[in-house]
Formats: sequence, C-alpha cells, structure tokens
Amino acid sequence: MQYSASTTPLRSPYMSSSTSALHLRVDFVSEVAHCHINSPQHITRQVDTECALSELESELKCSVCKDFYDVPMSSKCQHTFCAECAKFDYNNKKTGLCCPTCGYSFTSFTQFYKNTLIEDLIKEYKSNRESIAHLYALGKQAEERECREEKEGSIKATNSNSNCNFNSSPFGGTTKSKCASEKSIHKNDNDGNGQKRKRTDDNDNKLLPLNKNIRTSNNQLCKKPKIAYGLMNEKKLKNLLKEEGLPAYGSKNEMIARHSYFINLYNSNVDATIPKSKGELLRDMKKWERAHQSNEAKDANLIKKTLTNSEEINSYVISPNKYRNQFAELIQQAKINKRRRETA
Amino acid sequence: MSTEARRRLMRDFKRLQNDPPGGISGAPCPDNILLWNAVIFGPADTPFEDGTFKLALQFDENYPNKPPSVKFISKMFHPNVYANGELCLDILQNRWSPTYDVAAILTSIQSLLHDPNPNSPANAEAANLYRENRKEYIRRVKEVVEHSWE
Repeated sequence: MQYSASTTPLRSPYMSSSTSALHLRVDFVSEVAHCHINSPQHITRQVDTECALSELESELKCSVCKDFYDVPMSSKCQHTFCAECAKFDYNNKKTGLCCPTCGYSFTSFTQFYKNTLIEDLIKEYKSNRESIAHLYALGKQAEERECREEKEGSIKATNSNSNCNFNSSPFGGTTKSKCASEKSIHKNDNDGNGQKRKRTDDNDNKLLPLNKNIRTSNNQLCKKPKIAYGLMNEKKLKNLLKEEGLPAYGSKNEMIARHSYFINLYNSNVDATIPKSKGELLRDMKKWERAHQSNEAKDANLIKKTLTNSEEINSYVISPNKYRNQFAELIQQAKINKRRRETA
Repeated sequence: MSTEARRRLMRDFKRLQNDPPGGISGAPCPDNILLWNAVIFGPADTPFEDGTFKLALQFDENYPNKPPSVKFISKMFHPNVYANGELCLDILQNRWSPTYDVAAILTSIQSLLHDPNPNSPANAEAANLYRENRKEYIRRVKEVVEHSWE
C-alpha cells in the first residue's frame, strides 16, 4: 500500500488533550465533548489512563469501523474484522473479496472464521475496564510520588529521570490488563476443551462449520447463499425481497443493493453469539434504507456540483466567511499539533 | 440520525483530536458532519514549507466503504492537483481501503505534496515544470504558498 510509515503516526502515551480551539457548537459533536479538555489544569490522570488504555484498546478494535470488534471474524491472512465489516462490499467484484488490510483475495466469505478468543477478550476487557483504569491511575500516582521523592533525594538527577521515564510508560495499564486477558484466555481454554472434543467427533478441521454446528443446534440459523443477481429479472427480485419481508420498490439496482445488504447483515448475524431477531434486522434495514435514500439525494446533488465545479469553489470564494472562523481555528490547531510532534 | 458512516466519522474526529499528526488538523462543519474542513501545512524542507492549505472533504453514507471526495480550497500548484482543486491520488480512487481514516487521508495528501507523481499528471504545466525546470516550479509553488496565507 502506498501509505505506510508516514501515515501511521507514532502514538505517544502522553498525548494529552489539547486546549482545543475548536469549540463544539452542535449536537453531533457533543458526543466527543468529553475528550476536549478546556484548561491545561484539567489534564488529569483520567486522560493519561485513557491514552495508555487506548493502545491496548486499539488492538481490540476493528480497523474498518474503528470500534470494538462486533462478532470478530479472522481471515486466512491473519487479519480480523467485525462480521459486518469483513463482508463490506462483497458484491463489488473489484474490491469485494479482498482483505481491507493486506489485499489478500478470497474466493468466498466462508473463508473467514469466527475468532472466539478475541470476542472473549473484549467481553472480559469491557467488564473490567473501570478497574483496569483505576489500577492504572493508582499505579501512576505511586510512580509519580516515587519519582518526585527520588528527584528530591537523589544527587544524580539525570539518572532518576531516565528511570522515571522508563517506569512511567504505560506498562502499568498493560500489565493489569494482562491479568484480565489471562483470565479470559484461561476461560477460553475451558471452552476450547469442549470444542476440541466436539471437533474430534466431527472430524472436521474447519472452525466455521464447527461453530455453525453448535449454533444451529441452538437456534437453527444458517447462512443464506450469495445470489447471482445478473440472471434475475425484476419479478424474481421482487419475490426475493418479499420473501424476506423487505420493500420491493425501486429500480433493479436499488433492489439488488437492498437485498445484498440484507444478506450481508443476515449472514454476519448468524455468526453472532446472541443473534438478533429478524424483526431487529428489518429495523436495521429500515435505518439503512433511510440513510441510503438521503445518500442518493446527496449523490444527485454531488453530480450537479461536479458539473458546476467552479460554482462550488466559488461558493467558498464568495462566502469565505462561512467557514472562515473554523479555518482560523484549524490553522491554530495544526500549529499546536506540529509543535507537539516536534517536541515529542 | 446516527448511521454507520456518521459513527465512524465521530471516531475519526476523536482520533484526530487525541492523536493528531503534525501540521494537520480537520473537523466536521458545524452544520453537516459529512462535510469536513481541514488544514494541511506544507511539509518542512520542501517548496511547500510554510503554506497553510485549506481542504474540503465530502463524505457520504457509504464511508468507509467508499472514499470521500477531497478538494483543495486554497489555490494549489502541484502535478497531481487539478485546476479546480481536485486530487489525483490512488488511495482516494482505486486503491482505497476501508481501513483508512481522515488522519490517514490527510497525512497521505501531505506526503503527496513533497513527493509528487509526475507520471499521472493532473496539472500538465506543473508536471512539466517539475521535470524540466525545477527552479520555475519552485517559484510557482512559492506563489501559491504566499496565496495560502490570505
């Protein structure tokens, strides 16, 4: 991939929240309001903890949706994604069956298998997150105190400094979290024994069919096959949609998009430990439908815009004031970011 | 309305705030989370140094499965940037991967500034000058750098 070292910035555990110049004016930004800290005095341990834990957390997050894995599925190429993210666009022949991370191409999405270890780790981590953060904060406090005392007492100030730097790396957080992960590994081992027994019974090396067997015995869910839409006329498509309880209007392409999205949703749901009911899935579909419609309206606007591209730029030129303040703030912010990188 | 794309954009914003790359910033417009404004500083030790270039990023509900359309709002003179500000960058087209986020896009654009690809020129004049008359290329770039301060 073209973007490599330069585009994956080094993470610093001490990247505290800045005195952000970007004031949050709208509802949708208020969600992140907690990561903005308005005065430097406020740079508390909580922020440090969050940063230290964020390294650990990033290991438990999907690189497509950037959130904790929801039904983690691992591929042959050793990359893991949420069930929904992994099959993100499998009807798109160009990018459909490629690993988003390394580009490894698959012949079928069944080559992904559910990664129960990661799922258990996340469950364990989420339920222990507060205590991990608390322990980390306590450890950090103790280190700081020790560090201060050492500094005051010791003549070799430089030595103690380097020591203190070493100690204050986010190991506090990770060692504690290790306890949590060990627990869950242990737990998983117990589960694994059961699975192993079943596996020998089944005489099957593949994980996916194994998981499927366990689950299908519980709730009779199995995956729906991929459909060759190219061979279908509109009537058949409409019947397909009706069978699933989906709306059967719109152009052929819209119907195909709707059906393939549903199949993707349905099949990733099959892998979930606690699968959603069909009603819930249909609600998710409605949500997607609304977003999709507004998107199509936007697309139409965008096409108009690209036709009159100069106008779009002109709108920035004619009313430069519209985003002037935001750009001024962004420039300040970029300056702060640059300085921070240089000192780091 | 919270959709997958919007939730992902919130996470991108959070990451950009908590762990920002040097000389880069970006934020969604107050009235539309799918439209972002961003600023990129020209990389040091290049003709683009000291430039503060403004960009607009338009996302849609298919993000991150589809890349955003990205555009320079500031005037730009670069072999891979069209006259209307649009970019010719592979990761924003056929080499897009849903693992990229806003920070990655902006960092890629920043590195494109100092490392142009004259083989796929979007601005033929800039590409020719870059290959054949580097001195004049640098002069023209300095012009847009000064222009970016306005």
